[in-house]
Parts: sequence; C-alpha cells; structure tokens
Amino acid sequence: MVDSTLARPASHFEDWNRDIAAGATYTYDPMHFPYPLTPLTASTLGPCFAKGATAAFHELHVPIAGIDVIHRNHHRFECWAPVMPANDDEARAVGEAAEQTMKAEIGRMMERWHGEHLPRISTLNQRLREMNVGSANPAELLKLLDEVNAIHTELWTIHFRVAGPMLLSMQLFDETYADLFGGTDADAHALLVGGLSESVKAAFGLSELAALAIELDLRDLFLETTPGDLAGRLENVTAGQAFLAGLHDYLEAYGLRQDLFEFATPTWREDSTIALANVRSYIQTGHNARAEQAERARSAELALADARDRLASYPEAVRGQFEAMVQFGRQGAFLQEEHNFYIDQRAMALIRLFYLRVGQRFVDAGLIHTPNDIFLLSHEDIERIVGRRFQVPAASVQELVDDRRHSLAAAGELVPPPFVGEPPAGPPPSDNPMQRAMVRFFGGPPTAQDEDSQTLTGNGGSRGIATGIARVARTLDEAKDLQPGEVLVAVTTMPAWTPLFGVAAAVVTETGGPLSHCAIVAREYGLPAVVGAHGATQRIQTGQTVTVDGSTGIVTLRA
Amino acid sequence: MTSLWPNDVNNSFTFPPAVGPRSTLADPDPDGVLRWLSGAAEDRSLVGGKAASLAQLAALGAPVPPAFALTTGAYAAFAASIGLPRRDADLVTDALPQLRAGIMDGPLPASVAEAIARGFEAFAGDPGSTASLAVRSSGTSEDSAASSFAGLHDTVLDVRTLDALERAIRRCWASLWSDRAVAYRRERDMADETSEIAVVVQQLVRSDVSFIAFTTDPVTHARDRVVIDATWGLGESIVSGLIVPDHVTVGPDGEVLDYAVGDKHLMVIPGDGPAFASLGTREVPVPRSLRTQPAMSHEQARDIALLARNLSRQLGYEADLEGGIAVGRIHLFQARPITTLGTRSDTR
Repeated sequence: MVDSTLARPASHFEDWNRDIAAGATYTYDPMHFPYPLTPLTASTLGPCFAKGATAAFHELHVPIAGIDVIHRNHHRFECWAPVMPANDDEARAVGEAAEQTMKAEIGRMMERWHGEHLPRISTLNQRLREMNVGSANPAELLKLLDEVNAIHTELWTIHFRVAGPMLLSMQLFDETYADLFGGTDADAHALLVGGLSESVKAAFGLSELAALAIELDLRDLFLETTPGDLAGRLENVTAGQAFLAGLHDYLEAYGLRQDLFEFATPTWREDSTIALANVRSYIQTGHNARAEQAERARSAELALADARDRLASYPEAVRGQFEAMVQFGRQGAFLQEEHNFYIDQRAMALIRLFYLRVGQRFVDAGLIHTPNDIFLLSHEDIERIVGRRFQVPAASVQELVDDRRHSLAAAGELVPPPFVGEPPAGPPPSDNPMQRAMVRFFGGPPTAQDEDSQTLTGNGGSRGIATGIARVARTLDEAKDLQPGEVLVAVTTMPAWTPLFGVAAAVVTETGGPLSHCAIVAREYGLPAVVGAHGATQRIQTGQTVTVDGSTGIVTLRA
Repeated sequence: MTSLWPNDVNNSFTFPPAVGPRSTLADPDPDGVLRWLSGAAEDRSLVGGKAASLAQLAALGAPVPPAFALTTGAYAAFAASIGLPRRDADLVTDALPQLRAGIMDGPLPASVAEAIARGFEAFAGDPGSTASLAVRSSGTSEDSAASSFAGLHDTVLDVRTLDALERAIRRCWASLWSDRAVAYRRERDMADETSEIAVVVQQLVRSDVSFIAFTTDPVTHARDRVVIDATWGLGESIVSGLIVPDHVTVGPDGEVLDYAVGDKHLMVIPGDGPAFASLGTREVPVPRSLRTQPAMSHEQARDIALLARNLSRQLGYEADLEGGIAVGRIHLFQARPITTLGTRSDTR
C-alpha cells in the first residue's frame, strides 16, 4: 500500500520544458553540476542557493533581479534574471551603482573575509557539527531541519558576497596587465601564483603523509596496491596502522570535502580512498608540495619585480593603479581558494553529515536500510515523515526510495539540453568588467566541434604543450587511477581535484574559461590546460595519446 | 615680493657658481659658452628665444626646472673649428648631408667640451635630480615660425649620459642645417644672414600629468577664465592631437566651472622604443580604467590657473603655458603669448 500523501515520483521521464515560466531562460551548468542530483540535494541546495545568492546580489547592487533553480529529470537548471532598466538613464544609474559598490567591496574584501565572513562561517559550521539529531523529538527535529536550511541559505549569501569582488578583482588585474604589457593570461597570472590558502595547505598535508609513508617503509606497499585496497592492507600491518593514525589526523583537519555538489557523495573522512590515492600519487612522483609552493611564490615576486621595472618611466597614477590591481588580484586568487575550502567544501560536507544523522534516525525507525538512502528522499518527504512522527508504512518509503534510485540512475544516461524555457538572448547590451569576468569564468558558449577532425577546441587555460596518455575521469573516483604523466580529461575539476594536478602532465576539461578554478590551479602547477573543450570526455578515450596546447586551446587526438 | 606661486616649493637644485676651465669668480664664463638660466635676464641673441624665455620665467620665480643654455658662442666656436659655413650663401649645393655628418662627428673645442661636461655633472650630482635631461634647440630668430621649422631632431628627451648629451647637442646644432630649415630660410631671403643656434639643456621632469593652460579661452576669447588641457604622461600627446585630453575651465575666483574628462587612451612617456615625435620618448597605451579618469584634481586645476594668471600679469601678455605635474608638484616648461587673439572676430 502506498501512502497517497507522499510525493509521487515521476515514473517516466518528464518533458524538460514542463512548467517553465514564460520568457524565462534556465541554463544547465555542467561545470558545477555535471550529474543528476539526488532529491535531497535538489530540494535543499536548489532553493537555499537561489535565495542566498539573490540576497547577496541585492546587497551588492549587482543587477541581478533574482536567481531561480529548478530541476528536470533530476538535472539542475538555473535562471539568472537580470534587472531590466526602464530607460538609458536608469541603466546608467544601475551600472554605476554596481561598479561603485563592487570597487568598494574589492577594497575591503580581505578585511570582510577575516573580520566578518570567516568568523560567521566558523560559527555556522560549528552549529552544524553540534546539532543533536540523535536525541531530538520530532518537533525539535523539524526545527533543526528548518535551521539547517536557514544556515545553508546564509552560507550561500556569504559565498556570493565574496565571489563577486573576488572574480572581478582578478578580471581587473588581467585587463590592467593586458593593457600595459599585452601578452597572455598566463603572463598576467604569473604574478598571482604562490598564495598560501587552505587548499594549498591541504596539499602540503598530503605531501607530508607521503613522506610519513616512506619513513614508515610503506613505499612498496603503496605502489603495489590499487587505491581501493590500500586502507585494508594498511590496517593489517603495524606500520600501516601508524600511518592510518596520521591519516586520521589529516582528515580531521582536511577531510571535510566531497567530490561535487552532491550531498550523497561521501566525504574524505568517511571514505579515505581518494585521499589514499592522492598520497600514492605523491609517493610515485616525489612531489614536495611545500617546496613547490615556495618556488611559485618566489617566481611570482620575480615576475612582479620585472613588471615594476618595465613601468619605471610611467606616470605615478599608472604605477599606483598597477600596484593596486596586483594586490587585489592576489587577494582575489587567495579568496577563490579560501572561500571554496570553508563553504563549498567544509560547510557542504557538514550539511551532508547532518543529513546522514537524520538518515540514521530513519534507519532506527525502520524506514530505510542505510543512512545514505536519506538523500533519495526530498526535504518535503522528510518533513512530512518526521511530522508524522515516523509513523508511516515502511514499505511505502522503501518503494519511494527504490523508485527514486532507478529514476536517478536513468537520468544519469540523459544528456541535458543546454537550456530550457526561452532561448538565451544574445550578449547583454552593456559590457562591463563583471560580465567579462563571468564569461571568462564560465568559458562562454560551447564552441562547435568539428567531429571529423582530429582536434578538439576549447579555451587556453594555462600555457604550454604536453603529450601523454589520456585518462578520462568523469568523477573524482575515476580520477584516482590517474598515473603520473597522464593527461587528465574531465567534465570539470573542482578544488577537491587539486592534488591530482601534481600528478598529471596536462588537463582538459569540458567546462570553464581562463578564470575558472581549473585554469587557475593549472597555472599554479605550471600544467598545460585546455578548458571549455565541449565534448572532451566523449571524444577522447582513456589510453588514447593526446597533445594538449594550453596556449591555443587545442587538443589533438593521436593514435 | 610675496610669493606669486601657489606651491612655494623651490626646486632643491643648486646652480653651480662657475663653469669652464678659465672661470673665475669675477668672470665665471670667460668663453661665453654656457649660461645657467638661474634668474638673471639673458640676451636672446646669445642664448636663443627659448632660453631667454626660460630665464625670464626663472627670474619671476616660476617653478621652472633648472636649465643651462649652450650659447651661440659655443656653436660659433665649434663651427669655426671644423670650418662650417656661417651663411646659407656660403653653402655648396647638396652639401647638407656631409655638413650634418660633420657636425655629428667633428671634434669639439676644449672649452665647449669642458662646459658640457661641467653642466652634465651639475645635474648628475644633484641628489634631487632624476639625472634625465631634455635637450632642445633655442633659435635666435625673431620670427618664431622660423624656430618651429628648425627641424625634426630639435628635441631630444630622456638624455642620461654625457655621451648622449653631447650627441643630443650635436643633433640640435645639425637641425639648423636640416633640409627644411635651409629651404625655409631661402624662401625668406635669409641666405645672407649668419645662421647660428643655441641649445637649452634642462632637467627633464617625468610628468605624471602634463597640461597646457591658456589665460584666455582660445575659442570664445573669454578673459575671465583659465582653460586647461591635461593628460597622462608627457605633453607631446596633447600638442600632437594624439588623444582627447581633459578640458577644464577655471573661473576668476579659482572655482572649477567645468571638468570635461577626455578619452586619454594613449600617453607619451620617456624611454626606449619607437620614438614618438621627440627622440627619447615612446607612445604606450593607457590602462582602460585610467582612460576616462580625471588626470587632475580640482585643487591642481585651481593651482595651475592661479599660476597662469599671476604669470600672465607679470609677463604683460595673455599666456599659453606648458607644464607638468610630477610627484605632486607643478612644473612650468614654457610660456608664450597667445598669438591668435585679436586676429579673430568675436563669435559669441
């Protein structure tokens, strides 16, 4: 018997364009959401992101009237509705307000980060950790669920308070550099590398674990064992146990991270396979993350000194502007990694862990078999079940869960359209640096690929040419098999993938532009990278030899 | 006399008391080769119009960068020592290229070489100086148009070594014999007149902002306001029409009546590279964020207007001033009468 008041899952694929508001364009963002989302992720991340981001944009006078998130066939689509000025005067006023506010925010973005945002994020993260789901009665549990949504929303507001100025500061630096010296993005970014963010420190920790493993004489064990079997083998030897204790300490600090924006995926703390795979790669390649970061910082200072020399005869206003842009560009590069560590990774991981605790309550109530199945229920489902004090037929919950599992698996086979609803309009009428920054972050519309040719075209993300065997990895899990010297080919690489950049010979992604996370990290590591190469994970096969030219943005397929 | 100048910060430059190997306190420049433009009036026939004007400005206490003039006497001594013709009438036809080559390569008389070296040292040794110089021809002709036809290489900027200074001076001398200059003199029946030239060597101010100020609006002829054009870097870009400068109008009480920001997309700065107009300069793009940003503050515009009005009063004519702002200080490079007034009918 199925409880008719529970939400009925779609038993067949829905029309992508079902129920879209007239005139609205909802686009698919494969850079952040390349896979279908579980119902719990969709029903929380969607609305909280939309509400949180909208609030931040209003605060910062960014001319976005609102953001809406919908899901069709479990895939996420976003509508960023621009403010529509009534006339030229209003358009000018809106533009000026946006520019003034953004510039002021850039001027104080570090101060706000350390003085306001980070303390608040830490407070919210601590609250998430402390929430006592185990002993809450249903009424209290409902309150906690609401509170988590409120925290989640606020986290996205903070995220976009940081993201706007951070992206714009890097864009403005790139433009200033290009105006003065010409050259490529790589030349400009040579001045920005070498920052010391938490993400970089996370890589230090992996390097140190690699050194620990070698010290404990575990080198051979690591190199002989596939990542999936490592944890088991390590547990069986004394030295391995000592190592695992070190790993545990590392994960206490740096293990609150997941693959992508999907609450259902395990954190590194829960499944150390990816962390161990990274350590293994570091052992193989002998990477010393600390030494490399120090070298990057040194080379950035040299590049800056060189630029200052070249500007010696320039007017003071120009030299002053350049210095300011370098400073803000460096701050922006730092904040891009830093905010991602604390919000996109840590906070989201803690939200997952909260929902897992809720899942445990559902397991205890005999409604689901394993806590992770909670993600197959939507937030509304959970609220209704808790509202009924867990007094619902277990079979109906089971049926719902199974149905969702199947529809999610099927949705994974679908290729979402690039947009639903109204086709996207041409480029917006006004051109400003924030817009240019967004295009360089997302990479612009996909370039049409010539299916017959042996090449694939994207955006140059990091200069240099490298040839190697391709490893196509659609998830971080698949990427853990990456061998040193291989070319990593992925849909997108988010910060959790960063340690792999120490192993690969080059990187190709389907999404992103020169300001995307992948491009920036590739430049840090001095790796050739082509980003925004639409269709790369389909055209390229694992084992195929490819040449990546990060300056021209062209990937050549060989044998 | 109370200070006429808004920023009463005198250049810290110390003018040397004597130059030349035979100099004495009584007669610091017995060879008549070099004159420091430090406050005494100077004879135009000796130092040329440009230098005489600078000397006059310096005498009025205007913020003029320190300079010396290498006199017509220096040129005459050199010309004599290598057998240069003194008049166009004495020229052999088609001999100009060799003549100019002779100017570039011929040996300098000892007194001239010594004076140049001492002059350079005075600049190089000054702790406040940037040790970068501007070298310009200073013609003696009453006809100001004749000076402007002196030739392409009559200005060399960003001169930093003694060698380069010597070469720059030779270039200015050689400009007297440019094809254009000779043709101009021929057209005006000046072939029988003695051709001579002086050279001004001045501390180069690396202007962050350059301006041209008029004490009468050159378009409307209104005399109750000062009109200023300003841009980033050296003034070459305004004079040449390379960019649209900022256009500022300052009223009689010093209030800024209007500040029209121009699109200053390029600037001329000192240094190596494809020369722009004058040697020792180059043209570079302006970062887009500064293109439409005001080059001057209202306070600076007011100060320049005050300087212009005071100077105009002292000089006794409506003035066209060229100057620059460097390290926050206003410097004056040139002042000339506005010549187009009175020849144009009022068109209001």
